[in-house]
Amino acid sequence: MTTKTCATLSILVLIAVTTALSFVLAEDDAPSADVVSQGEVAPAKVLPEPGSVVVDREAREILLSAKVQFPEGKPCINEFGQRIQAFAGCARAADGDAKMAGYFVFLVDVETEDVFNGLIELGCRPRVHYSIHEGRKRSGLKPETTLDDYLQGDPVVVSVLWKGKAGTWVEKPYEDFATEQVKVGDKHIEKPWTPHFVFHGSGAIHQSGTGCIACPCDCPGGIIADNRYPIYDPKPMVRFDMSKAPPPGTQVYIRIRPISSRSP
Amino acid sequence: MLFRPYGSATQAGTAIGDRLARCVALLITGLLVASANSLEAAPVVLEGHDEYVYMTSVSLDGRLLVTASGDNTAIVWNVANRESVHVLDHDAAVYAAVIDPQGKQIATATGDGHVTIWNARSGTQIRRVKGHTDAVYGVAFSPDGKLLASAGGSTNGGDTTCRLWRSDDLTKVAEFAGHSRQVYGVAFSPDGKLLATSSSDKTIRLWDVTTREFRTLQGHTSDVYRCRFSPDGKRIATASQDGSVRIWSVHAGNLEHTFEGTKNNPSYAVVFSPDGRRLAAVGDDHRLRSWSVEDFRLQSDRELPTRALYAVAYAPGQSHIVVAGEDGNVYLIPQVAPAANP
Repeated sequence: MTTKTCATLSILVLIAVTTALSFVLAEDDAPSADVVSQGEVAPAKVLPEPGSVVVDREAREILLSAKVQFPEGKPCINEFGQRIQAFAGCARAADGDAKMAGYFVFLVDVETEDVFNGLIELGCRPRVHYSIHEGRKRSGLKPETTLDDYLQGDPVVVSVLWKGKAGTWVEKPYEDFATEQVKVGDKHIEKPWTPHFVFHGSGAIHQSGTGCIACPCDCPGGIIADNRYPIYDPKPMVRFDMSKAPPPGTQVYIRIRPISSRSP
Repeated sequence: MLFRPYGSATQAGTAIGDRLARCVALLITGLLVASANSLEAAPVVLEGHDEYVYMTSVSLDGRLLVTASGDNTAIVWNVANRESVHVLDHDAAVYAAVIDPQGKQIATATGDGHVTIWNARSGTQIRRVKGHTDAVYGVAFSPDGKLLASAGGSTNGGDTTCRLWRSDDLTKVAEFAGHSRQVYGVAFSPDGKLLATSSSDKTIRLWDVTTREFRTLQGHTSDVYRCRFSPDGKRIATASQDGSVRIWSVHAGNLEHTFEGTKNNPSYAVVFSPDGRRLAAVGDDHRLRSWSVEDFRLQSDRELPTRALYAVAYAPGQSHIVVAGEDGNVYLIPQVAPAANP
């Protein structure tokens, strides 16, 4: 075998191995755009043990431990719909079982009030918050609607991370799991889900007991809401795509990063 | 022979025969339920509410139906022509509405702590009282219609006291305090001597209306929502966030049967049929199930094209059952004859 043949064979083997590896990696985890860190590189300094909240003052974020569940048959799961219940929420709230626990895809194992306290500890501040009862009174856009009829607080960024099959950490923004549908004339079109999440804190301050963390509409039952629209009405039409989430039972972590207000 | 470690051939044969018979019986029951479900007529849908419907009640003569909704209204419906007769406006979400045994008055309860009495025929308000400092979730008339019980609360407890009023002028008669979290359900026993309250503290209390002494029923592992007595007063049924529906003995104060469920699909309301032979329940899985109270077998299981169901009531005569919930519609569902026990 000549040197030239050996070199050609080596190149072919290298190409084959590279191609095979790229297939293995592609099948193993979600698209590379979702991967924030490869291999065993930890996505955070400390990850929460089940039943605890990590408040990382340096990174200015909180991390929650959660399990994936498939809320089959509930609104907005794998089909377009409107719902007030969050996709991420706690199993317990207000010293009791969370009323909406069966609706969450990411079921967090601490009380909603603990999540609230973690964000407060980071300096994240709610500004306009209501009980569900009061929220209903302020529902919808009316001629007499004022600024105070919207839930308000410091904006937050929510993401979900988990370890893939080959030990690769995957992280997705919360809004990447869902698609929004809007009507243009007589036609329904799909668009990316583009919520504006704010920490209003209502669910903990007024002890709603729902367990909701981040709601797909402006609802005072949770602690974070998409406040693009007035309270409850209209609710965006969204679809949570379960195929974008890891399988039910998977341990995941919820990362919440506030954009905190600072007093002058 | 005294010692038969594996049983004799005859016993084994009998055991296999028994199992086979049970299998066949289960198969037949399943087929009957399935065929009954497939033959079910489409429900009549009453549209009128813009928000969740939390409770429904039918008058004893079967003519009137009232529904309580989060859209701040209670609607009185004519069951015969399926039209709304009156819209009763409130300042807050209406969590409960009941018609008195005479069919003359309607009581409603709201999220702002008010209890209101309405004239069922004219739809006019008779009396209103700020009876509670928190939301009121349940109201019930005594069997003679002279008393009205109301209760509610908030997630951190709040005003969980059940109050008893004279239904003609809403004068307070008595208070029953003790639940540590909000009370979702109140019901009078058919003889009027007992008052049941079901609570988010996972318990049910059976109060003696006269002495105010109580017994506690424990067993649910989460919030207990609505409760109802059987027509003979011997049993009470409860629905819970833990997903189960339970039947309790009123006399013994113990659990008789649990219809299991899952925590992801809470049960919200229960009702006995007027003849006491069946129990129906609805919940988060938008299914209407009914069981025989005699042998606890499932008699029908129907999924409705709606979201969570919060309310259920039998219309006297059992021609249909009324359910309602999160989509704001009221469904009148024709009843099929229960499957015969094989």
